[in-house]
Amino acid sequence: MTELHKKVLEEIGKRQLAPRPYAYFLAKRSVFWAFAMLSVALGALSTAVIFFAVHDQMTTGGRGFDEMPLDDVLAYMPYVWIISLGAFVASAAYSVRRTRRGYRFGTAKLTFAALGASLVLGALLYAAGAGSATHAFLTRNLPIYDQLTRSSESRPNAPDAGFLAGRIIAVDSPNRIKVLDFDGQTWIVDLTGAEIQVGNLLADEDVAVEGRRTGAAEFRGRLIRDWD
Amino acid sequence: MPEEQEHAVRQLVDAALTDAKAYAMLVRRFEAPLHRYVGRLLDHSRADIDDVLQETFLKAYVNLNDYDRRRAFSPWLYRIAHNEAMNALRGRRREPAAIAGEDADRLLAALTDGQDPQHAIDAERRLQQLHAAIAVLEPRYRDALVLRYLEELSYEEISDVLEIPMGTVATLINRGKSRLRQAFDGLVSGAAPSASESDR
Repeated sequence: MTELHKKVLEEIGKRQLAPRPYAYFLAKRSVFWAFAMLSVALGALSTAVIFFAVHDQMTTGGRGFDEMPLDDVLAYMPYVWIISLGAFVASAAYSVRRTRRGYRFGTAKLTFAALGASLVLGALLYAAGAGSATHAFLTRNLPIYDQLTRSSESRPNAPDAGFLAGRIIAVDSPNRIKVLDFDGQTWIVDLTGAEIQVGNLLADEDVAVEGRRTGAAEFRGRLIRDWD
Repeated sequence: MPEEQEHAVRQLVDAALTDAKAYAMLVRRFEAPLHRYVGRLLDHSRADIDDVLQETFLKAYVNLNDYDRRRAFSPWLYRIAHNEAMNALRGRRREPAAIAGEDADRLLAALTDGQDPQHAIDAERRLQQLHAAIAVLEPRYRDALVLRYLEELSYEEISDVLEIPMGTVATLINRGKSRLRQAFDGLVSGAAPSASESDR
């Protein structure tokens, strides 16, 4: 047997080595846990905005995703948030993997756990209104965000998405009007059972109608309000 | 390692935090098994192995507070030694060690599921064939087999050393055995093994 222990002692003295303090390792581990928790929190926020975007599309868009052709479904997917959810889930899984015992869990297990945590927390955040608040905040303060997303307020006239905006050109009956939309197409709008949020239905009034497209130039209103 | 010995090692670790001489006792305690293990990983001269061992113990000393007291000490030390040995292999672009002698017999026994290999084939030829079969084995399978059958670590300890999930350890050992057997059988029946064949 060699005198390795003597050499090691000599080297310790020569290099003036000492055990790093416990706090150093605690801080190092904490950084990864902090990253993991932050990633799950941001993933949850992404989930909340995805839920909001889907709900927004279903309620103001008139047609649900199940009624849309595939290209419309793809057009209204909240890609920005789906990508950010994926990124934060990956970041959370990686961070947990780098913790002291993280290697004991496989990548798939960590990814599913991070995704599950993000979805559950995201549902809670959505219920608390964080999805719409985040969306509104980013729309107000980040111009590029508005270009990347398509929500009801960014669809001034999108009949296919269930949002018609234009000028009343004729009032055939209290339940039936003609609207010239801002893109120049005339629509017959059926307002039977619709919620009327305008004082008087008069020609030359600008209105916004939420509902669903029912034909080439026909629209069934669920709600009509002043355009502003 | 029995619990009393584990307890004694933990006490030594605690003492080593403030007294380097206590650390020297830890070095003496683990020098032999780690020397054997590093020797199995490296096909280097004794001086090379000693260098790796010295760096292992110095690194372990500096990081002593990172050792999780709820776990066994040796897998933690093996992990550092493994990483240092891999660094040495990478740095010097050398091939892993050829497994020979008693080590080869033990691995062969694992490969033949405990049957007496003496009756199967000629001893010397069989060793050469085993060396050739091991040479084409991917390092991750080789590492797992060495830790399981030569170092006799449990799956949990191997998981700690290689920093992989226990399920992956089991997979590596099973596949490693199967690929080694395939390559070995190929050699015994006269077919030359290749890395691609053994990876299939």
